[in-house]
Amino acid sequence: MAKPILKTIGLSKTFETNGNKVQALSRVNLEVMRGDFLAIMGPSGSGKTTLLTLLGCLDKPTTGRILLGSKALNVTAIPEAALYRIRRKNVGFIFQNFNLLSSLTALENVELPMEGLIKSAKRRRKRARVLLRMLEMSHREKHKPPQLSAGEQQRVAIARALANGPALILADEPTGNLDWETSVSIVNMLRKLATEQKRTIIMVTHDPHMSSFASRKLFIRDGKLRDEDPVYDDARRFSP
Amino acid sequence: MLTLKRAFKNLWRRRFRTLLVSLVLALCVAVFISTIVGVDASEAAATDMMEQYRAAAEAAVEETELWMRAMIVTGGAGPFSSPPIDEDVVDEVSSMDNVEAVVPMIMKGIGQREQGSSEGSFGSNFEYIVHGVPLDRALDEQYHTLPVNIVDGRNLEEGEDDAILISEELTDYFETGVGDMFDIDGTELEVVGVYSSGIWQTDVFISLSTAQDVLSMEGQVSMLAVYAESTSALGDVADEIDSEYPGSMAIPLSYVQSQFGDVIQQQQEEMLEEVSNSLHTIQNLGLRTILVSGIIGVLLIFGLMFYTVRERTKEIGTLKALGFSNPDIMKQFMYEGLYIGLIGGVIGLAVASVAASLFSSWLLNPSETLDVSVGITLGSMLLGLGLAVISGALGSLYPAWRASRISPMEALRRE
Repeated sequence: MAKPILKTIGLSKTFETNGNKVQALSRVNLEVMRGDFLAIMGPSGSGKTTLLTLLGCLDKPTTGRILLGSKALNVTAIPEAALYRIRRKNVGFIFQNFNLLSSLTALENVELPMEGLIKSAKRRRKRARVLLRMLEMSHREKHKPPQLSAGEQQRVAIARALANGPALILADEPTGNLDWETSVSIVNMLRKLATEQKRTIIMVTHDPHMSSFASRKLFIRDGKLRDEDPVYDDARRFSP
Repeated sequence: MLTLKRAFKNLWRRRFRTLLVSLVLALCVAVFISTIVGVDASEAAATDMMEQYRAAAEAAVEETELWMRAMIVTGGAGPFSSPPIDEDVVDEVSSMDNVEAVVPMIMKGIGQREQGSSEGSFGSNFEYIVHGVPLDRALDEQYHTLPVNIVDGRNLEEGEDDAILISEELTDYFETGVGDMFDIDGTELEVVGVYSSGIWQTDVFISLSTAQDVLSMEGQVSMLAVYAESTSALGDVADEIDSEYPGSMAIPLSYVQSQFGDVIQQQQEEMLEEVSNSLHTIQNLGLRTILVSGIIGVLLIFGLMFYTVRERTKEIGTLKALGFSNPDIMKQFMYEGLYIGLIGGVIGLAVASVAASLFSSWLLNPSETLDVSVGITLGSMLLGLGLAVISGALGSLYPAWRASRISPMEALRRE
């Protein structure tokens, strides 16, 4: 039987602001297999991004565990100062606002995560070119982010997320700043990565149409993860 | 991609801001270098002057022994109003027992000082006093017939009849100097040297024969400096001159020394104190300027880097999400601070190399006591560059540390 590439056990996160405790995530149990394209849907403030930051080792849960990779590495037990290694090697991020470094070219942006892992500048450059070619961005490799369209920037961001061949790609509203046509193209690209390259992708979105490209859908509301959500089910029912 | 290269690109992206901060830092560096070289030059000038004063004081002490066995002989009371002495008297006095040497001299006051201007030598009202002395090198070496503290040009030379040596005070009074012509009663003489005033404050020195011509004293002198073979024989020589030349007056130089020796000593002490005070003021001012320029440099980079970190919080979050460690982030911001320091330092060196002299006098305002010529040294350049780089490092240390401690989640949420 195949082992999950990502597993969370009783994952909870509580924030404390001005003396008030806010339960952002409540006992989330999740299993994601290799090659899954999982869409997590939920309204604003439901805990989507909090879940993504915990899965991406950007923050630590209040309770619970995250087991990552085929060897089920318990990343919650790793000290915060050492988590950057896990992020560098095992996780690729795609952001709603692309978050490319505007002082660097597209090619340099893709090379960026490889700095700590690949010593040879030539090898880094070669791999970055391969990734840009794969995302049909070779012709724009010398352009800086402000010179690229939103869709092009997101494609560069996807190439950057793939730079170190991570086990897990986390996409936080990747189509949030794109027009409909470009959004479909980007989500198609993510699906292709999952189906053809067996990349594991978790995409957070509140767009039901974009989530329909995913192989699996989960809903989050008030910090609780569930398989179905009555509001989204109704929305889908009444959508044209 | 190397962190260094990325740091440079970040600065290049904000090049106007980088240049502006670098220019202000460059100004700090230029001020710093100018202050260092200014203080150094002032110290060197002060040391030179102190050495000169000390040497003069030592020479005065040496002269005391000579003065103890010397006397001035005039034709009557007072050096300026006595009747002239016939030049033949020189040989007669020279042949007296116990006389080692006789130096004939002319000393005559010329003109009247305007009311309100400084006094002439010995509190006189003469514009200046002409000294006619035999220009004989051997005589001068043994009995110091000419002033020794030449501050410009050279001393009179043996057999030089158309030259004149003037006091420093007179160069200001007559607005003249080396190479100019000096007019004495219609006779023009070339100024070949200027001496530091001392007791001969408003005096000029020319050859005895020229003085006789110019002052219409052919075959005459106004006084004799008579040197006895020993201090104990001075009294006998004075008695003999008195008996041979009734009406003449012999004044032992030990008496003159007692009148003016203290003045000389006091003048030298005052000058030493003035130089020392000026130097002390310059050193204090220099230290403060150096401290202020250093603090401004550090604060400048601190302000810029602090603002940069706040502005680029999201970028920091992105880098952390991509797997950059806290030391990686800190290193990048430190490099940016160091780059600005280096750019500011290099521009500062260039500015200092052309304007150090101007800055130095503007900042330290060296008193006229010290004649300071400022020159940039390799050491001062390295110190200036060091200041810039250290400002870069210190100023970016806290902002860079703060950047490295930003929570990636919080940073990514920042718009």
